[in-house]
Amino acid sequence: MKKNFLRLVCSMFLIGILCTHLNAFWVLNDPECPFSMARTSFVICYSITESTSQLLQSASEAFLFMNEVEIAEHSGLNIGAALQRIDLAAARVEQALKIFYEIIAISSDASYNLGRIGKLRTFNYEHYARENHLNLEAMSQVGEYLNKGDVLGFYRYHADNLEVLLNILSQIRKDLLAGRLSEKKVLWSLLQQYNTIMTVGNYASLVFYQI
Amino acid sequence: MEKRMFKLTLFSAIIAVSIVYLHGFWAARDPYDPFARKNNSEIGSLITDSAVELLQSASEAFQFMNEIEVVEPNGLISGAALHQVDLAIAKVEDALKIFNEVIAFGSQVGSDEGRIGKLKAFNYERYTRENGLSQETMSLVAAYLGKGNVLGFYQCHTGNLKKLLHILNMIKKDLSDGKLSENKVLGSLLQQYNSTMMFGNYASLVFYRL
Repeated sequence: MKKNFLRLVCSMFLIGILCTHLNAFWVLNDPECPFSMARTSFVICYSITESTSQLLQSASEAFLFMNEVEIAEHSGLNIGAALQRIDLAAARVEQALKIFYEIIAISSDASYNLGRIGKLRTFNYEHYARENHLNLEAMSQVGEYLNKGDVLGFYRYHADNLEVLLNILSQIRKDLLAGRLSEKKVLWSLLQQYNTIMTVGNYASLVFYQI
Repeated sequence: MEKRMFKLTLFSAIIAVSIVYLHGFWAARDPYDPFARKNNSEIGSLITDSAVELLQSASEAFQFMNEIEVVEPNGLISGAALHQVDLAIAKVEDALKIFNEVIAFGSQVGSDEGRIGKLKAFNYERYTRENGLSQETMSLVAAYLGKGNVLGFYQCHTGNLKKLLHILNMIKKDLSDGKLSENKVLGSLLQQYNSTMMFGNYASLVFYRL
């Protein structure tokens, strides 16, 4: 009796976790979790959500750093506060990247659902982007991988983007530690890189949810 | 001696102000403030204030996105989500209010013709290509600045802020009804923050380049 009850609780808990992550959709999530093995699908989809969560929190910190830079106009730059924001943002991106390396390693050994790949190949990316007033350039970057059914390639591309972001954050951190603000070009590239990663990842999610 | 001291203080103050003004530059800011009369620094300061509100709003909104990234569908939405959306709305409202003041101000004072001439002569496409930027976003910016229409650009920016506010209010209404907005609405929130900030940032790039 006790054993049955324990099993019931365990399965309810697992279903709960699974449902909890079905709603995740900001960056790169495929609601079908389309790997051939159920367990692999679960792990990968869960990890993508975890990585996205880290990225979103990092962006939130980075915006507060940009805010510190912006208000420096009125009161001068508070290096300590700026450094704290950058440290948190960098730590989150490092975590997001680490999780994504794991995703790539796991999905390299797993096969993607062929029906799903077929749908990715036949999807009209440009038409969808035009119809929904999306940025055609960002969608073409997504289409470059997904149009060939190369989901793993797209994961690698996302990891590369995270690495670029981490490098920018590290550069800014290094300059702050030296008591100065990075040059404008570097600071601007921070906002642009967050935008690129988020937009491209989000467009991939839109495609995954559409097919 | 007193006169020299006064001159030194004044000089230091001017240098300090010019250095400080180099920082406010994330969105839609021209470091040279292309308006004709002496209200320039006031307009520049307002644009900075508005950018500050927008950045803080984005920070709250991204926390909200994180909150719902892991939420259970049709399940309990934490009070934190509604609080974050409320804060994001308040900040965008402030940003919008300030920008309406910028437009009113700018309409009265007129533009600096030299600066407008530079905006018209600037090669937007080449700059974009050379710096690996998005042609699509820059063409939206160039549609205004390429004609020297700084006020039109500001109006477009307020249009972007209004769209953002509309999306946030829809999400707030749904949250108040105890439900999460549909994915299309939630997705448009991220997209609208990105496009609003990029539109402003690309303009800043141009202004600083001139």
